[in-house]
Amino acid sequence: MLLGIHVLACNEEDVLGRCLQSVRGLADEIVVTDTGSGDRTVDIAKAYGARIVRAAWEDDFAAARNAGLEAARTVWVLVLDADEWLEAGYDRTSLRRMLREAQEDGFSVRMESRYGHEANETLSHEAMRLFRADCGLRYAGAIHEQLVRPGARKIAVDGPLCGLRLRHDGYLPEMMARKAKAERNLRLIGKALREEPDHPFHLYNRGVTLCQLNKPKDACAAFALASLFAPADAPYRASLVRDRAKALLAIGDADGAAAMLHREVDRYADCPDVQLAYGDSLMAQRRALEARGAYEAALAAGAAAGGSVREAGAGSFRARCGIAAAEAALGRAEHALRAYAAAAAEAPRYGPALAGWAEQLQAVGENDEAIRAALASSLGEAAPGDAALLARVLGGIGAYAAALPLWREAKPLAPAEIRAYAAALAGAGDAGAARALLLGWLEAPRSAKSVGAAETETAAAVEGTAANRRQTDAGFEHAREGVAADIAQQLAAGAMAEKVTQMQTQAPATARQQHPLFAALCADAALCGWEAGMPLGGTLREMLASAHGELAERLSAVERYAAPYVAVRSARTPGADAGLPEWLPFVGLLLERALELGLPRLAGRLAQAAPALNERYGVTLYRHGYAQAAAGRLLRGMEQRAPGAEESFAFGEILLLKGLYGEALSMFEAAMPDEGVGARAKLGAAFCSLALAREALLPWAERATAEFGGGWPLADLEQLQLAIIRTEATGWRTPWTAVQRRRMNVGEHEADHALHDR
Amino acid sequence: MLANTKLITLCMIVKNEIRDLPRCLRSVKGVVDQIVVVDTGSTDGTVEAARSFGAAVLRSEWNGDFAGARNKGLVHAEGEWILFLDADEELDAGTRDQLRTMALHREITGFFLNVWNYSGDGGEGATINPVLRMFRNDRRYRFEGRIHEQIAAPIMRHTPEARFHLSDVIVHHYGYRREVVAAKDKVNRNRTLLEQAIREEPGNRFNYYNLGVEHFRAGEVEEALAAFRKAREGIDYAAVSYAHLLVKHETSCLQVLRRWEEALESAEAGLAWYAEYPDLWHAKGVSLAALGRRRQAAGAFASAIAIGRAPALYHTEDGMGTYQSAYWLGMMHEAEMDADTAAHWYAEAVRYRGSLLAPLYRLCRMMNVSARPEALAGFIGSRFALESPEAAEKLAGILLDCGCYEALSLWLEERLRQAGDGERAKLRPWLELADACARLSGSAGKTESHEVGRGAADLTKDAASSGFAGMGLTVGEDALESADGDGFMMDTALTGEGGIGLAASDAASGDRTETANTDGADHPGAIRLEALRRTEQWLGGNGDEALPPASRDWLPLLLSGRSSDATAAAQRVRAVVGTLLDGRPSEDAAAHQSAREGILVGAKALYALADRHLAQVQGASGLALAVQGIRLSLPFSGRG
Repeated sequence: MLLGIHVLACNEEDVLGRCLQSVRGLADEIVVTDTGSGDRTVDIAKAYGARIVRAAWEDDFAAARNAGLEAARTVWVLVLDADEWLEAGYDRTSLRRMLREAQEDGFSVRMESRYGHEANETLSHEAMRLFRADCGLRYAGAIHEQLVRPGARKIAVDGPLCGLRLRHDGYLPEMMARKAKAERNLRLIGKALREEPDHPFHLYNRGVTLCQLNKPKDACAAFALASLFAPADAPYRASLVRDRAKALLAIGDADGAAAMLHREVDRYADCPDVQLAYGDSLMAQRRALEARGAYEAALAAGAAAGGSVREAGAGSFRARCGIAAAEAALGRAEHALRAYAAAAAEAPRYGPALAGWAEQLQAVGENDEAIRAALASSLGEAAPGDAALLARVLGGIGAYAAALPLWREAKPLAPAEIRAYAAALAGAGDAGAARALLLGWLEAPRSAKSVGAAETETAAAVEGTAANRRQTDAGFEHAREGVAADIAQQLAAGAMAEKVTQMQTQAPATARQQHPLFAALCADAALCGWEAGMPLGGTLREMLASAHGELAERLSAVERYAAPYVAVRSARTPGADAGLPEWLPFVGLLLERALELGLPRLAGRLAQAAPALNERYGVTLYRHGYAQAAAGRLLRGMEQRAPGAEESFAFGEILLLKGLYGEALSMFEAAMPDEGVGARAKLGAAFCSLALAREALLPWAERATAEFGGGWPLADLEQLQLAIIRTEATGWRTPWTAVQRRRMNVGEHEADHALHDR
Repeated sequence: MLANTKLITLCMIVKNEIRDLPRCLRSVKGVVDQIVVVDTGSTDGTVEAARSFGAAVLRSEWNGDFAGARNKGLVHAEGEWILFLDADEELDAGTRDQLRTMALHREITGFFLNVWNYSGDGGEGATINPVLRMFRNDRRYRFEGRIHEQIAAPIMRHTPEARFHLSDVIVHHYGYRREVVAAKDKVNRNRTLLEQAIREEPGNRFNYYNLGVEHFRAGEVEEALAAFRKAREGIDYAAVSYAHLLVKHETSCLQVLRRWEEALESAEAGLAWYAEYPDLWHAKGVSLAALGRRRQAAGAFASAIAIGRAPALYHTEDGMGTYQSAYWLGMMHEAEMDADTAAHWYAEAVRYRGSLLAPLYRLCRMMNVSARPEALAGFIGSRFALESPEAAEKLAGILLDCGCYEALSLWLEERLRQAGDGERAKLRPWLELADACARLSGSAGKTESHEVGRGAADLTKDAASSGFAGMGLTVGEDALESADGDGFMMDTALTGEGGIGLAASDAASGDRTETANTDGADHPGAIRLEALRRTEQWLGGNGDEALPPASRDWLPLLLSGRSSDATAAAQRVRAVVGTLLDGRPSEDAAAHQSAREGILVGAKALYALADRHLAQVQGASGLALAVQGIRLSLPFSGRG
């Protein structure tokens, strides 16, 4: 017999069928090695006509696989894992002919692993999977086993590509979590390290596994050790460099990542992943000029044929998004726009590309309808989920009116999407509808089991993104990490969600209440209700009381105190007191959320409920983009007392917008001693000084003759321009999202939302 | 020398050269045995001056034919050798005597001399090219070419086996210095003649080459580029001796026009033919740097240095493969934050040419930004051999200007230990200056936290009336396009004037830019210290008096320093700087000059202020390198 399929399985009843179905009819026998399944794995295998080989599991992948190979009755074997499947489109006849005529001992296949649900989140590499069973080739290595030739020295076997493609989804977060794969791998790697201490390959894998377990600090240590011992030509070294950089960035060590990559980047000039990582680390160091160069190198490496790309898009759309972010940081909006558009053309559903593109289109003055049209045409043929994707992106830049029709179309909606939909409704001025929508989801009876994978993982993605963003935040309060506006919103969601989830005291009763976003959605519902003039309401109160007791108490308390200012009748809850612990932060959080939703009137009332908040309210308004409203408040405040550092800073920025560099300089200098805003104030002061110098030199530039090299003051002006660009690239200014930019001229007592198109 | 055996005859053609001719004729005294001058119509006493040096003067009508005019003189030459110079040239004192020795080698047909062409206003280095200037006096050897007369070609035509030798003799040519050019409108005259020559001989590429050179000198770079390209059309690189020059000039034009991609291509194409021509490697490096490809640029500069001075058959620019390339290589490493390698190359640049200032400024600035005073002090002590106390004072001045107060103290203390009495007297003031500046700038150890509260409150009271208010101008949007690449100063000309006199290896070249301004006047250190004292007095005063003029130079330090302990003084400083910044160009020359000086100081003060704020941010995590990059981009003190 010519060809046999060999699968290693243990408790894989949900995926084994997919695997075996994909190879149906290709081979002459199927061998499934079972290491002790307790579910229907064996039955499913038998249903496909497989022969079962039972092997005891001894924490050794190689041994288990070899057990199956021993039982092979075919000349050739194709090895699959249960969570893999063969991609359709191969030609059975020519494949079998190739095997009959082959001189080689083995062939490699192209592997594509999905690690996330966003479009284009795949890794690809090559693996030896198709080989002769009768010349002694066997597996070695308890984990990450490799095919080797028999003999004293284990030589890894290699072979040309045969055109087959395998797909793998075992890295998806829910798959990993379900099977606790990461913990198991860690155990096995530990065992391997005890046998071969300091073996760099095991150390590398240990680092990777620790990253999967969200322990980047420990991963860094493992990677560092691996780097010490890894030989220069090790095939995994490029991946080691890249993964180590990512881990360093995750713990906020941008300097370490950049320094390490600076040494490595020449050696891996044709590896887009490494160049991309270098670009990311330079951006984290706020060196946008250098970052742009690195991203361009990534693009060039990706364009070169035969590049060793692992992460999809490293040499194409991801690099383009990096270039775009760098151009935006350098203040070149047109270039940023082009780069985002190019990225979206390559990867139409890549979130950051779409979000960045939308933001830049808005920044250059396109109206919302034009933006929607551009994005929609880029998506091309509609796929499920497109409506929600577009709606999220449009909501992210504040184009609520354009987003609403899309939300209405999109079904079904995950909780995070519900939240965004409600925010769009609130932003468009219909707080009542927002509340109704939220309550609709909150009250719906659902059984525990059908909390779908998609819902938990979206929540996980939200949390994960938020966690990552917080970790890479290096010193600035409002880090400007690329321009994915919806990620910024999710950050806020994450902060809010985490805070409220901490208050969870009792075990949740329903599956809905289990969801991490539950509390946040309740808070949103409360806020929208107050805005629309509706009290908390009985059902909401009861739901909260049963699951999140503290939250319920506090919301009621807020309502009670906000009540005199809110045109609402509400029930009095006896016992609630402003002396509740953490009262101030809680109200502050609600206030921020209200501003995010575009409800400054409500936020103003909430601010009045606590004097400390009221004092800072000018700065808070400013941070959320209500510059004009803030200016009025700040001026009034400064008349009464000396301004705090944040107020001086905000005022300085306002003066800067009017070109009053000298006055702005004084304001920034006043803010410099402050710990929180001091660094940005110093950069602002430096910027003002340079801008003043430029102003002074310009009149002299007209008379200058351009010699080779440029006489004075042209040479000075050129240097100044460069210094100013670099200063701006550090991102010291308050970063305003597209949503916030729309609010600049909104007065405090005007309509709550800027319905303008621009 | 026998009475009737003349060895060398100098032949010249002149017209109204009274200013330069005496210098030229003085320089050949004792070297030539006969002088024959063809005058084409002087009216300023040139003829008499020539005769006073013993020259035989022939008068001739000028008909636009340089070669013809020269040939008239050749007929009357009696020496074995003909030497020809122009009135605006001068034989180098150190090497001219070699001509007599060389003249004894009668087996040689012609000698090439090294003409050093000085352009600009004399401070920007020279281009050097070897030219045939002394040849056997043979009736058949006559000049050809109406504008740029050639003698080598005719010689080789008549004597195919002619032997030529490249000598070490130097001829200084001042004719293209800016003021001279302006005075004689040489450029336009040449251009007219060249255009005429092209009409007569359209196929002669040498005319196009020369036309390109004239256009470039007049600043008409596009036209120059076109002329060079025309000259290069269909050229046989191996056969034409000046073909490398064509490539180089074409590349230079593209650089001036900032067409970096094309400049790079041009340089690389040239290098395929002339791999040993350091000028092209240097040009390649400059283009790569402008395109932001710093690593590759560094490689190109390193290649230029590996070659060093160009081989003799290349017309090269001063510093290519030596100090200019070393300087640029240093800048590449500086931009990559590799301070140690950068420092090494800056030191190398100074080693090649001891009079350079720019590398020293960059070195000190870079070390200041990375806050390594001991390293700087140690580096200076070990790498630079200062030949005189004046040199040490100049270096001290640079350190002071760059804000390297601590390094200055450390270095001076070490040096004073071994210094003689005279030097000690000169250097002591600098030590005091270092301490005073450190104190004024507040970098003497105290942190900024002491300024909390009081300083902040005081400043905000006057927020609306800051000294800089009311500039009136709005900054034009994108007044300058954003910088190409990294915006390195394309000014490759390094100042040699008033140099330091640091140890340089090329003493034999008779470096003409000697240490100036050190002829026993009041020592610079003492002068500066006095000015600082007066400034401190003014600072502590009640505010009625105007700023003493000598104190202007201290404004950058005052503005950027810690003056929060006397806030009224801080406001006064700001007011003064604000007034200076208001200066505008003017038709009145005096007012214009005064305003210009004011702007220079005011701008410097603002750079210093920005630098201070940036220095304080540098410690913030994750920002160190970004901020260092900004600080190193700030315009340079000490230039302009």
